[in-house]
Amino acid sequence: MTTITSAKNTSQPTRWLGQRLRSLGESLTPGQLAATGRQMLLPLIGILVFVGFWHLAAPQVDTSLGSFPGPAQVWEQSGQLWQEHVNQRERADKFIAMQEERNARILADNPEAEVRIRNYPGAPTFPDQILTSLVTVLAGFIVATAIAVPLGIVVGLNRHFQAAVNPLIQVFKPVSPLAWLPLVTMVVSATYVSDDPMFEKSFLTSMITVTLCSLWPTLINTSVGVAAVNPDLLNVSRVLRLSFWTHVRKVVLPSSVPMIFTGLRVSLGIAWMVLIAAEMLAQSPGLGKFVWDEFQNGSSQSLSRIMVAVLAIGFIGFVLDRVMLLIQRKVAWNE
Amino acid sequence: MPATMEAGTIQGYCVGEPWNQQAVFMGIGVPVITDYEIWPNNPEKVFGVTRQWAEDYPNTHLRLLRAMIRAAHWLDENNNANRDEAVDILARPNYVGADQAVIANSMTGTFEYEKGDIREVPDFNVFFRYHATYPYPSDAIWYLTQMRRWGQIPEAKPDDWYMETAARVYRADIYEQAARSLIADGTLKASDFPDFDAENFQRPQQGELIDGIAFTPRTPNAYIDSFDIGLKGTQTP
Repeated sequence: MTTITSAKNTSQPTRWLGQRLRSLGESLTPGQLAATGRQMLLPLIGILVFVGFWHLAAPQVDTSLGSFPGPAQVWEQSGQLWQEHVNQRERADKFIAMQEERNARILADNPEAEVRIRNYPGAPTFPDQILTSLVTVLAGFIVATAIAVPLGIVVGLNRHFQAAVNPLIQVFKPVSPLAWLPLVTMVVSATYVSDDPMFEKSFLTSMITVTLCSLWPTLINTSVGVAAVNPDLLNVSRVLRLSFWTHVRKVVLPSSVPMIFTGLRVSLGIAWMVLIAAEMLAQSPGLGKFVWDEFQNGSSQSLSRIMVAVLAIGFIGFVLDRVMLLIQRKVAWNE
Repeated sequence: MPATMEAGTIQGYCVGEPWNQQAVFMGIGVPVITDYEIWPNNPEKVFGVTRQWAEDYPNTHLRLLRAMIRAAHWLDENNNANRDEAVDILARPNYVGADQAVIANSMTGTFEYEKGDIREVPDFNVFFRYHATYPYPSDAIWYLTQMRRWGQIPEAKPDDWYMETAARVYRADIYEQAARSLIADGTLKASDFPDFDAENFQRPQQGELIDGIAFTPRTPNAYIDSFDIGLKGTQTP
């Protein structure tokens, strides 16, 4: 006698939630917590030792702007930068409120009148500058990826094309962003002329410089990954007589995704480094300009504020890399 | 600029405050002479706009002038009573950004020539006193004579040319419009400004130049010819 038992009829989202809760529960058991603690202990000790060394060594270094900033001054200045941001936002709110009141008065007198609200014209604050930097680096990185991945695929698939293009890649790869920048600035100034521009010229200059410097790792890694597709898979494609596009989509791209993502991670790291230098020179209102302006101000808090920016730059670079790693783990099949 | 000098890229600089005091505070340089000793009450900063912009936006132009006249008046008000607050504003990182102590010196009437040598210079910065904001044509003519002397104006020009150029560029008429509107709505008094019915050609409290040669704005060519060095008469560079 056979008994037929039907499977439990739970929906997809409920099952997913159940799985997540179970793994959360497992990670909170004492054994697992101890293991995580041990994992985090050594890095924590490393950080604390470094901060302690920094705190002791910094006052020993004297510059004409005061002694080198220690962790305490950096902490104080980061609080100060946050306070300046809060004050600026308050001023912006008051500015908008004042305009709204004035517009209400004008409309009360004359309902047909044309009124508008103007944006607060104050200087960007530290968080604003961080946002500008992030937007610029992501824009530059996306454009670089859009150029490098297709080009890398073509280069990898065709030996002759690769032999033709390779010397150009090798010559342009080592060029520093600071060397590209004047050329990019002149070209952007000459070609991007309009009465109501959507982007600032400095934004375009920084973005294009980031693209020019960060597309090389992706390009090279993509071409290597594409050229190293497993010969068995190539044979399968030939036997099935797949069209070029199907071949690329179904065989080449999936098997070269790990190499492409390795290239993308390296490119993003380089893009972030290049961005700070490009912003300093192009005066795009991001972290690079913040560092440059503080240096030019030469006040007694300037060095501490520059250290805050340095730590912010490092931390954001770390976060960007982790995000790329997460995406890579989702998409790449061999990690 | 102090950072560039400290790095050795330049050996010196000629610039406005607070960068001279900053070099003293940082211990990397000393000011040799100040502008006040070369020519007291000389014209220094200008507010310049293109003719096109002034024609396209006359109301904005007027409002901007009113705001600047009021700011200058505030800075010199009550015998420089507001200078400390001005120093606080200037020390903000997105304005001048230098330390308050560095900016405060010249703004509050002292100047430290080198560490320990502090002297009183009450009129180091004059914003409104002595009709400082009024665009006297003699100011423009002085600059034109110097431009002729050093070859920026390559040929000799008649005296009339200097007068006409000064009148075309230094627009006392627009200044008077702004000033009258301030008097009309009671923000400032008529006594704060020069008498608008007078000719107002030469700056009344013009100090003496360091080379001792008297500046004669009505005879610019004679003034140019009175120097030992520089182009004279009909010479060309």
